[in-house]
Amino acid sequence: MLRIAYYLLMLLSILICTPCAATEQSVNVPRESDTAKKCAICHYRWVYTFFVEHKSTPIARLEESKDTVGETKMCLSCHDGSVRDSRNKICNTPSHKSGVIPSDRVTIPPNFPLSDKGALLCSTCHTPHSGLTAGESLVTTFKREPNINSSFCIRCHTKNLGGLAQGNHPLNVSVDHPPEAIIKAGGRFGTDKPNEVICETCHMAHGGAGDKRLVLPVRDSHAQSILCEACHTKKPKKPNDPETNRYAHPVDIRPDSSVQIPEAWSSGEKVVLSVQGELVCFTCHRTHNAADKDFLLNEQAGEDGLCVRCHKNQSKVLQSTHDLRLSQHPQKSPIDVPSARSGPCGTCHAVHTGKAPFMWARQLPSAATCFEGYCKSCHAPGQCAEKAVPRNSAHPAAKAASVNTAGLPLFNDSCEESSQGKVACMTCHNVHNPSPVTAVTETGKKGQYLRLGEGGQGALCQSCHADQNFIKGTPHDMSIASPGYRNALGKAPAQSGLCGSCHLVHGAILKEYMWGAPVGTDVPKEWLKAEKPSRNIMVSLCTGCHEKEGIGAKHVPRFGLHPGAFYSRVSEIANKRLKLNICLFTPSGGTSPMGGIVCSTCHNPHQWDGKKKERGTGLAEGTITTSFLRPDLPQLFCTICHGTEAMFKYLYFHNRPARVEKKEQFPFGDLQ
Amino acid sequence: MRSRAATLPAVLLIVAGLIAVLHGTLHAYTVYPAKHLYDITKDFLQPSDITIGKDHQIYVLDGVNNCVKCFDAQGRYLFAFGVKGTQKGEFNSPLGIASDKAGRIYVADTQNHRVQIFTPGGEWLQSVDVVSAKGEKPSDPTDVAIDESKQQMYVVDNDNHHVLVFSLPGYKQIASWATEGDQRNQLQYPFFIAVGIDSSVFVVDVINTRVQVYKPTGDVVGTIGGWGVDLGQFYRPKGICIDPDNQIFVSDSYLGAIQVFNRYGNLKGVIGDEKGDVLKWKTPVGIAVDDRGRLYVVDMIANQVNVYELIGKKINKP
Repeated sequence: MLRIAYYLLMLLSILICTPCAATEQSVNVPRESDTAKKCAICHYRWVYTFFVEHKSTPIARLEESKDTVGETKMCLSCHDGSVRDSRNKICNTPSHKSGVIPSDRVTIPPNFPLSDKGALLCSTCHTPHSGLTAGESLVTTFKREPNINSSFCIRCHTKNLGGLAQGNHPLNVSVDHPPEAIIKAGGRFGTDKPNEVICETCHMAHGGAGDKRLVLPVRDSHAQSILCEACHTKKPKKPNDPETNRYAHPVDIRPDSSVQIPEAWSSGEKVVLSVQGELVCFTCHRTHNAADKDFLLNEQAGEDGLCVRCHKNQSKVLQSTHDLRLSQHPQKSPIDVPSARSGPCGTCHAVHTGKAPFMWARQLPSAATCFEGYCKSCHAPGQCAEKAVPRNSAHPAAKAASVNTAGLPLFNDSCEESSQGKVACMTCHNVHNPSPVTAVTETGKKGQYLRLGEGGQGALCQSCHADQNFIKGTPHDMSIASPGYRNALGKAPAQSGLCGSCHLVHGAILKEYMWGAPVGTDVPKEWLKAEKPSRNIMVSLCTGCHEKEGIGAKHVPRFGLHPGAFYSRVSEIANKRLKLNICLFTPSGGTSPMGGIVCSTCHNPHQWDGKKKERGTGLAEGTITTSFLRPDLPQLFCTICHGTEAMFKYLYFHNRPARVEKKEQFPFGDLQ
Repeated sequence: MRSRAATLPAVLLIVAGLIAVLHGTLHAYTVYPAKHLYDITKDFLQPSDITIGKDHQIYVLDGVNNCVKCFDAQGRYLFAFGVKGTQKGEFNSPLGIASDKAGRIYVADTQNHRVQIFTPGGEWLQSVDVVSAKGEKPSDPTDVAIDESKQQMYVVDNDNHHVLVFSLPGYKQIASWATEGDQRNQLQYPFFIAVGIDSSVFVVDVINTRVQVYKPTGDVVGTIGGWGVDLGQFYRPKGICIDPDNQIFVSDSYLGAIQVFNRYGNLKGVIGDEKGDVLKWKTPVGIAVDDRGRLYVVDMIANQVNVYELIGKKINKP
């Protein structure tokens, strides 16, 4: 009995112990402890306790042993200084991404392992098992494959290849002079060609600047684009650096209120600014996967363009006659790209190779000042817009403004916008907006390209010449006084606008007062008492209309001018005694204390009632307080020379019978 | 009689079988409970080591930032010294730090191949160049320890697998211990070092996953720990410190635990919380224990220092 019990116990013991032995034999792991350790020192899951015994310990959990061999923590366990000190590269940004699932722009080769979840590991690129080949002498970092001229990078980053054709920065091209700044910062050049540009010329896997791990920063607050500028030295304009202060698009500045930087481009990519919000090369450019493949831009330049995404105020140039894509004009941009390809802006503006301020693409005519040179570089005989050469301008230009320009731009001698500058074509014209549009053609919207053009005819003039705006609604407003009237260009008031009936900036008959209305004689025969002055243009400007055959025939004065209007006695009095701001006019139309008494001495043709700075109310018959008479005329002028008697002379000066017959009340009772 | 003789081996066999089955599923161990007091964070970038100076001032070696940051006994920031460079008082990726009884601070200025000595206030006092022997790699001093009773300074030369001995006060190198290897008196990437109450020298031998113990004369006394992930074993031993009772604390940066050994290398327990659960850190590296029974743990990846009070009683876990 005992013997049976003994054998049963022996059998039981053998059965109990058998599973352990069977497990050990089945896994076939190295049993020599040190050999196992050499693998398991990184392959944590292969530690005997986990792999064979499948158990946890109080200080190590079995479930935490999975998938750790290539993780950051495992690598850091030696690269924390205890074997090598790679703390900064492993732990601190910027470093090559790990722990994230690769984007669709990356193609991971089959022999580059990912985590169980498909995420990048340190061991995706690195492995202690692959010895270096003889061809790799530049780096010894246990890469999974040899890295010859960045060949390792492009194993995964395949979509960053192909150069401009694929919207990527060219690779494997030579640069003339490898920038010392890049080499000093750790950038490398390839060896297949002299100074060959490779991935690692600009990027480094660990370290560098930004999330792209660039060898030099592109968004640093003090050195925004130095990586780009290290090679592309002659392109950007840095306002504070005279050496690079070229006629190129500025960088390193914050965009002002005239531009609107979008949040993102059409691709959805966020617009890049420097850390301080300044423009950098990467604001417009993208070195990989660029939308525009010729210039590596974030938007297609040939369409409506990257420029107008920010410069929205200029967007109305699209589909205008200044949008040379429509006219298919053979004119090429300075970078030898046809207008149809360079986009709406590239024909006139060369972003990096301008020849004048505003990144002006064209050579300014040597004879022209910059005040009109920009326009004449196209709108001149022999130039691309020779069919649209404007008539000569009579408006003062290249001079300081004598009036408040109310925000219209002025330009200094360097053609830069300045509040203390001078009047130029661009003061009145906005070449980016055809308004007011006069016609819509196949070659775009035609128009006058006037600033404030949307405000209607005359709005631009009124901006500077506000006091002259009171002419509207008066008998001098041709749109109500004589709609059939035609100015010197044959344009009716509705076409010429409020001011254009008499004044023409381009195509004036007389330069004086940009006169575009009829010019009369010095002494109309209708005058009862013919004054015979020396020729004074100020008389003939009025008599052009106010004569028997003119549109002002109903208001031809019987007595033309003040007696002795041009005698020196008058001037002497005016000069020595009056010392007042009285309009005495020289023969050429200028005002001078030594000038003569002409129509405009007493009349302001732009204001119906001298005492009321307001527009007219229609075609009312004039009185002695209206009739375009200057305010306080009797007190300021007549009575000084003529005493109180002047009131009667004043009253009956032009048309005594009418005034007598009408028995108008004399307005100056205290002087009567 | 014969039946009794046959029964005894049978019983022994059964007991042995049961032990074999139960082995590995039962771990009786002791937890040294620690009460969390506070954490120190001060813009650290992978800090590596810590030492407690005079008046319990806390000096944290913030090596990636190339500076030492000093805190008072309550963990309040006081000052920092050091910037990246090669001049006096400047650092290049230092890794180890120690202090002496006078409060002087010793920094293993690793990639400048030297040890720099500072006053408790951070004023530079002296530099000791760590020169490797001819034919060896440039020296790679990763830690330093002072034994004033023996008038010796010990410097770990990580890349050359040595412990270098300097005499005090002249800081003249007088000996070099160990060669590369995994045998007795051999080291594979020694990292941190500490001196015991009895002047024993404890060298964390990282790749050999052990602590090698030396007499101050350079004779090997023995080793502590070994390869593995169980109690009493190491996977990545890193930090080491000795408490006033001559207990040896060793951190394992991968397992995230701190184990306690006696002077003979026997496991005493593992640091846990007040409930008796094993405390785990992300990457515990440099550690220190002060005379108040406070345990300081540098958690490298977490970029912080955790401060605990060691509670005297121990908790036995089945």
